[in-house]
Amino acid sequence: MTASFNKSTTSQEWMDMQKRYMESLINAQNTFANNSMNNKYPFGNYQRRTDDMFQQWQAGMMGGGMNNPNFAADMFQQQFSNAGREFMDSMNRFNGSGQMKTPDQLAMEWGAKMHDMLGEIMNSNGCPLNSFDPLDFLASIPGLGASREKQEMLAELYKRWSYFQQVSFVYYQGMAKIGMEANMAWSDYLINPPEDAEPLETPREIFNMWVRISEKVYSKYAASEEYMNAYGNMINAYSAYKSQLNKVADSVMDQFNLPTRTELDSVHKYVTQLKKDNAAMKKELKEIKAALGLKKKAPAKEAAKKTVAAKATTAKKTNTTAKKGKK
Amino acid sequence: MSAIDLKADKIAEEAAVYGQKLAAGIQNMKEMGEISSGVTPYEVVYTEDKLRLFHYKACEGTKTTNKTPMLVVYALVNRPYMTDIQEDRSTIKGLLDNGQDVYLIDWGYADRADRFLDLDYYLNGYIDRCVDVIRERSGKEKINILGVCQGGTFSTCYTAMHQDKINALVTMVTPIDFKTPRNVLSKWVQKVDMDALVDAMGNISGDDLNDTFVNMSPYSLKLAKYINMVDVMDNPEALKNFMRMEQWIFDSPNQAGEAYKEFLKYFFQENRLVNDELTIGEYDVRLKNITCPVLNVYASKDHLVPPPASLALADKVGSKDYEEFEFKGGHIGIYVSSRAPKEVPPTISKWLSSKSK
Repeated sequence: MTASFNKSTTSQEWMDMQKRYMESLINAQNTFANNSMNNKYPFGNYQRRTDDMFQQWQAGMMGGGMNNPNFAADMFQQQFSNAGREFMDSMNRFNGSGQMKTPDQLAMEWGAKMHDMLGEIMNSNGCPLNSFDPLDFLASIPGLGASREKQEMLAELYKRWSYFQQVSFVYYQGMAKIGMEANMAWSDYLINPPEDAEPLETPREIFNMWVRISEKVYSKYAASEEYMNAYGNMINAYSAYKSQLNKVADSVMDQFNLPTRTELDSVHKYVTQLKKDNAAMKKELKEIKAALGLKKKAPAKEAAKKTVAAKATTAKKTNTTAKKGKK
Repeated sequence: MSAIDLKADKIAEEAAVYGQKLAAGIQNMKEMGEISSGVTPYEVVYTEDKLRLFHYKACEGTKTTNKTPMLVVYALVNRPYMTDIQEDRSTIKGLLDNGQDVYLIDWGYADRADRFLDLDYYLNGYIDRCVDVIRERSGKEKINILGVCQGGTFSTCYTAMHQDKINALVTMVTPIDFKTPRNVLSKWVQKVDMDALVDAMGNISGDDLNDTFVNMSPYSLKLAKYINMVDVMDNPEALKNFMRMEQWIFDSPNQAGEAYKEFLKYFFQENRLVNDELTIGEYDVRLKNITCPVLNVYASKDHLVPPPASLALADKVGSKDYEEFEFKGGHIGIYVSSRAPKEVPPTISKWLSSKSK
């Protein structure tokens, strides 16, 4: 069976765009630095230099002239209309519009297309960052100067984020593989249904059978060693990234003289320990009282009731006495 | 033979019915009103931090025949109103109607102030104080305890540590052995560095936990459930029941970091309870120290706590009076299926009453 779906160029176009983005940014920054060093602009004209840098960057992105007043809007429009065109092309390729096919032919053809698309993910060389990591060089350089601690903190954040992306990719490759296996299991069912299986007569029945078959394939993978490792690695990488992100957030909070998470956690820790100590002391006190045979103090409500009752009794006695007196 | 044999008349009928139900359902959803979370009246008899201890009130005319009160300990994950979700599917009401005196711990919603509460605080602190409150109120030296899922694990550990306060133990869909072959949830966490996770996240988000549970059956729970939901949408009562479940499923509190870390490390990853290696606070938790009567209720089609995970209790308890009750259903079905109220509360009540003086 041949599939008519062309291998997607979306991922390659995306990578090209990212590359163009970073290259134009670096070129613009180089121009900025050179212009500053060569005193192209009068001292203090920082705004003009920065404007020129951004214009050059955006021109590099867009391929248009620096005098285009709308290049920011044009950039967005290009990105979205490109993405929209690609999406529509993908849908047309999938649907094979205009072709008349039987339902099982359609289902099998669709299966083959999915197979190819998922295969592209599965067979790729790994996370795109493996082949092009624009900030890895910068993140690997040791920090310099008074802000070196902050530089190192941000560099470490980037490295952890980058690692998380790579490990996540492995996880999603696994999920793509399972998507393919579920697809193949579904195709097998369509081609060779079990002897005792009733034919599927409505879209709901087809859908429910597809769910059942796919779930079975997924459940088997979800219980496997491979999934366990991929999932664990991804969570651990995310924990490492989040931990570093917390440090960065704390450092920013500290600069604004606001309480940091670390400080608040310290407070919560102290309070929890105090609560434990308090509870232990109350328990010990109760045991001591019990050992001494001291009666438990009546709760406030009950004490109030007793007082009211006592007053009522006194009033009754007074009234009786008064009545007797009157006689 | 072809796997697919589309019938035009059936397709037309299915499409028409689906459309009608969907249209009616949208109207029903607009008119639904508030979705309740618990139906049986109660009184709050004790509070501590976010914890509330409920004492449920039986219907007028219902007699409390068992004078030994029972404490229901629910899991920290999800909210306890699952046991009291609707009038005709309430385990709490069933227990009350069968003569039990029922208390329940509502753990509340943990926040960052609870970050460092550990299992010792939950079990030997909160639960122990609730037990003491009930003992004092009832005048009974010992009470009955019923634990649900993780709450059952807690109840079991508590009974092992404080056997002198417990008359009888009931566990419902409770994991004891966390490394049985079909325990998918356990497999997923084996390679996770819990220390790093909790240090980074603080408390564990309830939304993340929901996502984990739903991902155990993603095709069914993320997709098929909502396609097939339309089948009940034209029936306002059935739709409301569905929405009640939906509300409960996604109403997940955050988990206090330290307690979560200990539970996953000591139970899921290291399986200390069943291996007699668990210590909580100053207590060694040994299942053989449980000498009171034990009723172990499990669900035969439980995908979250497979039956072997619960049944491991049988060989470990020191009690000579141990019984099992199998409910033919799932982890949630044991509370909300139509058969559940007819089978589960009467069985538990009868057993408890026979073990209480």
